[in-house]
Amino acid sequence: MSVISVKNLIYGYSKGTPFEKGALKGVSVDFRQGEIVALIGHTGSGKSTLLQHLNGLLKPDSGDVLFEGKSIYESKKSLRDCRFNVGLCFQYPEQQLFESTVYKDIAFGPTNMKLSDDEIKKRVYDSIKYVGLSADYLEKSPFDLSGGEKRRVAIAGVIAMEPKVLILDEPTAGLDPLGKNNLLKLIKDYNEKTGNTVIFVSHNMDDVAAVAHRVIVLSDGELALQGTVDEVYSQGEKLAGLGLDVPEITSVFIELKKAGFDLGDTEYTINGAKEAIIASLMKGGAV
Amino acid sequence: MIKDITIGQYFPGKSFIHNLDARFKIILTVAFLVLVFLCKNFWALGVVWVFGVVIYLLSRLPVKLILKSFKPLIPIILLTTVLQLHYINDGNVLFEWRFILITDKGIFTAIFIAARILLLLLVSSLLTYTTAPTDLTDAIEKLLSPLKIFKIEVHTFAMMMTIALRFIPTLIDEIDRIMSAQKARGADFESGNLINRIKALLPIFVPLFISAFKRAIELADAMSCRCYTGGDNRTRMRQMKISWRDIIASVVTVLIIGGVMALNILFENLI
Repeated sequence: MSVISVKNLIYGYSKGTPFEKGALKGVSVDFRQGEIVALIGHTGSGKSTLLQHLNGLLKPDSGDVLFEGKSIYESKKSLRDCRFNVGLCFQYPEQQLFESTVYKDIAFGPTNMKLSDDEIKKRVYDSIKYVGLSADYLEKSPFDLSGGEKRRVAIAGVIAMEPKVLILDEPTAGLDPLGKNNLLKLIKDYNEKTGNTVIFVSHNMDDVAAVAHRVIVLSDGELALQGTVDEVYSQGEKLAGLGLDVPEITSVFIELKKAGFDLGDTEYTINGAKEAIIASLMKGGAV
Repeated sequence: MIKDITIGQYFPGKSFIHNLDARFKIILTVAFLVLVFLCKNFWALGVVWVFGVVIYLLSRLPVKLILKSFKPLIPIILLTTVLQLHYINDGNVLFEWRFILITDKGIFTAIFIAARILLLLLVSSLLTYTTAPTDLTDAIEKLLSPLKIFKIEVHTFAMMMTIALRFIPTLIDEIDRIMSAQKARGADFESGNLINRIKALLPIFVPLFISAFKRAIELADAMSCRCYTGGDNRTRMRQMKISWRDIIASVVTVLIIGGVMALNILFENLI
């Protein structure tokens, strides 16, 4: 079942000025319940613009966005409901922190939802746990935390709204490898534990391969490719034409296959590749 | 939204007005503003209006956009017009009810003042529409350079202005981004009473100030890394030159000033 579907979305920035440019040129796409979708495409391909339509921050020039089958632009109420059901976390979300304590900052979303105090408290404690920080952090000032911790607090602020769809715009940008892995694990955990849909933007094809069920590739405001990780990554040349690379390990894999190794299906993660290569070598009697 | 406000923005172009020397543009804009105040009757104001419209046509700016950006100013202009109607009580009475008294002279004056304010706004915004911010500050620095004898650091002042102008669009983008982020968390900026609305601005201003200070520190570091010291001995990559355009524009402006004065004498004055 699709949670959000986007129908023939067209949107341009700065209409009627010399700075006019089209950002989305007729995009239609479905996001299904419970899946992790990665949105990829190089800078300026319209990824962020598409995301901002999913919770109604932008209004399309034409086309429609349906949440659970109903247009989100129908009324003020449907738009507000959509904001709470579709949690959008921007790039560098740590820059939106403003409260004096972490607790208050995470509680900002739930408070806007007009939940009871007990419910807000429960959600704040749940979400700080989700992002892997201890409850001790709640009384600290968000400005005393490290960059990675700030980002997790900001993401907790969105998760605390318990959105049916969680959207993250380049969640791993600027994080060290450890922080990156923690964040990818968080995406996976959130999806598995709550069964909610997660959509995220990434430039890193390895990250995408590690967590996404489905991949959507945007190019120049249009849908270029979509499908499972296998389906999309197997079109290496087309991806390269769009200015994107397949994961490093995959290109190694493809070259090995060309060289005559019997490796089976193409792998996208280092662990998978390791297993496949060992299995192949065992079969060939090399080890 | 916030990006619809174009006053103060620069629209690149290659028109006659764009190509005027920035120093002349500043002086002529000031002259034009004085000219608007010199007008004492509809004939004179009419001539200046025609002059203003011709300048706009010469600048080849997108008309629709200009009109759109003046929309938020309409309430201010209407308010002054209504106040004028109320405070001018001489002339023939057209309408009287309790404390409201409207006279024909009141109506004329109100229209006159409204036309004047609108023209002032149009012309002063034309300066920033057609002049690149860097040219503008260069020109201001040149025009203010006589102040050096009073030991005023004109260069530093101009640099401060350049930096301030440079960061306006950046800060507007930033406000837009922060607003979107807080809206995504359910912040509501459009409803509620005054106190709630002011409170709703806090989630925007705290992050905005933090990032503005960060930017300022980074910029200062970057400037000192490149050994910026400012001062008098800096030379310019682009020298400003006076061209035939500037001479024509100045002559036309002087002629119109003369014309307006003549019209003031020839016709009965309203103010």
